[in-house]
Amino acid sequence: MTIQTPAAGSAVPVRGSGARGLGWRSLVQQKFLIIAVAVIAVAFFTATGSSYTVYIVDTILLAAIGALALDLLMGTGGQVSIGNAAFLAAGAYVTVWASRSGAPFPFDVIIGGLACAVAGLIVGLPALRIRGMYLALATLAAFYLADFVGQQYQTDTVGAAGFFLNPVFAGTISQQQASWAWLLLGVLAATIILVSWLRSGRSGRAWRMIRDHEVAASIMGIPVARYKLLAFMISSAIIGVQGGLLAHFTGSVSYDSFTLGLSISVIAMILIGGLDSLAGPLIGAVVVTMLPIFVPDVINAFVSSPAATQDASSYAEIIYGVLIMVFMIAAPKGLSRWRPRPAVPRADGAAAADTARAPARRA
Amino acid sequence: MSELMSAIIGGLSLGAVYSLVTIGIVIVFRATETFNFAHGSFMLLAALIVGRLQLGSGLPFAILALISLGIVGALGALLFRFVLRYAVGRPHFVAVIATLGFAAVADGFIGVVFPDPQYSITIPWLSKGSATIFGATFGTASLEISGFAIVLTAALVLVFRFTSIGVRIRAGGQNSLLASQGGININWVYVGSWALACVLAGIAGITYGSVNSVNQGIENLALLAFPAALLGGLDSIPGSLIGGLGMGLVGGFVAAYVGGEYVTVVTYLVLLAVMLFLPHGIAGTRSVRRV
Repeated sequence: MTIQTPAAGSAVPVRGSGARGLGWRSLVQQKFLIIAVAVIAVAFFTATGSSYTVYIVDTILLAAIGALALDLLMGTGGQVSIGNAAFLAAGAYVTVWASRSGAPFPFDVIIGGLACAVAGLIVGLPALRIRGMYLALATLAAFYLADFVGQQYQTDTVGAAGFFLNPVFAGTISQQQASWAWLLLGVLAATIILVSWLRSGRSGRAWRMIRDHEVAASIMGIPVARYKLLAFMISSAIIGVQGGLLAHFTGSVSYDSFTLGLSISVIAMILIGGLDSLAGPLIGAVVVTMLPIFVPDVINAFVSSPAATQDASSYAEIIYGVLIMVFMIAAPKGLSRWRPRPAVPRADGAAAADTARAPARRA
Repeated sequence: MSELMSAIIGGLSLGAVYSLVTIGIVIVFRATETFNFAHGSFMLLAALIVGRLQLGSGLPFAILALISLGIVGALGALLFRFVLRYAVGRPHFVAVIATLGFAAVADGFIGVVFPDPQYSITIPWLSKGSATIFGATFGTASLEISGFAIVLTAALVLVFRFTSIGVRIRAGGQNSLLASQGGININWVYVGSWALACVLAGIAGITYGSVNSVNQGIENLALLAFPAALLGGLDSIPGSLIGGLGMGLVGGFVAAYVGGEYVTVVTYLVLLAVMLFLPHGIAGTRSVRRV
């Protein structure tokens, strides 16, 4: 986040100290604590849950991988991107392509990730010249480009129905879902370790400095262009791997499943959880993924309408849309760092609007 | 010859609608320095309200249009007053992401309230039939719609240039503190700009929906207007006319000579090119900070 007013400059040490200053929850412990919680959750649900429950766990794990990657780019690096569905699509399509060209399972996903790293490098190039909401528009352009290329590839090879992939694991449905849960858990743990390692050292300080004050960062000798491109590359590569895994997990790929709404839902995850944190994207992934599942139950508890299940995704969209606005405007630190508000009379924005209004009233 | 004419006239008639959409985006940007990614939602919402009510209520079109425009205008004002106002003084993308959140809310709301995949709008004032211009045939209704959009956009350009309301909005966008010291009620300017932009979005949605069908495609039209806004110059109100018509021509030629499925991707390639090589657009202020 670029700091634009001098008064907001005091936020720099507070935000930057997220890694330190947590007492017993030092970074290392926090990282392994989160992984341990995830392991216990996966072990519990694969042992006791139905195949549907495990399917939901798998979906959450997949979403968490992508949310962590986007948070590295947006939360730590401050580069606004609404094109993450583009990288998801690119990862899925390159994986399909590699798989059809004969690459066996883990390697086609890796090829997808590498291709997305290159794509991220290309999409990152405009970020060297433009930023903030203009960058968001540029990533929107990337989204439409990826959508178009994927659509062309699909209609040229298999047609509207999309690609189908053979299942990766053998066994019954519930055995397959459980194997996926452990595989995705492994990838998620690797992502957590990678992201927290990147954030904790020199690169993390550089990204936060660029986010908070780009000019100051370059004056301090931080190679801004290199770090921006690095953020785009790593984040896109991870999202590409997520896309490849998603393709194998669902067993089918079609361009119409990669929508702008999907991008917005990932943004919702990182905003709800809290930007630039490890736990935030995971909390957000759980909340946003569970919304369409819980909403019909909640609605039925009040009005008992059969349409609630049918419209569940629409209701979920309404709720996370509201959550985006609430967390963006009122609680920018998200759930993972939520504290009771200290006794500051008014938020900056409201005060600024008031000072702007007061003279006009007198006049 | 007829292919060339259909590219030009088809492009200009689409460009006229783009201009009307673009001017709404530019007004919001001028007043509050925000991209309204929910602009398409307002367009679709207005068109859906009219389309849905025309099915059942039997009220005349004029009243339905007024109701629907009133609703979207009020929604726009409320969105600014209760959400985006609190993003003042924060980084610009905060408000932008918040409009994305509103777009998600509107999408979900539309999914619940308007279950049919598409509706249609009948405007009784439009003529039926087709006209042949230099060998290319067009529906007269869509030409009338485009003429209306051009006239309305041009009228707005003049209003912003020459009336005191226009001066107030432009001043409020340029320097809110100085404008408020000059006796302009800046909050009303902001709220009014949002309401006006959303009413314009509604008009664009209803008129476009009357000659095409009312479905999600209307939202994509708004996203295609962002490249038009950048091409014309984001902070230039006359630029929205230039950018809209220009982008419409690009789309018309691509559709006529390359293929309709290439229009979106070419439009966004133009957007990237404009961002990198002509960041202030054709008519925008050169000092707009983007680097």
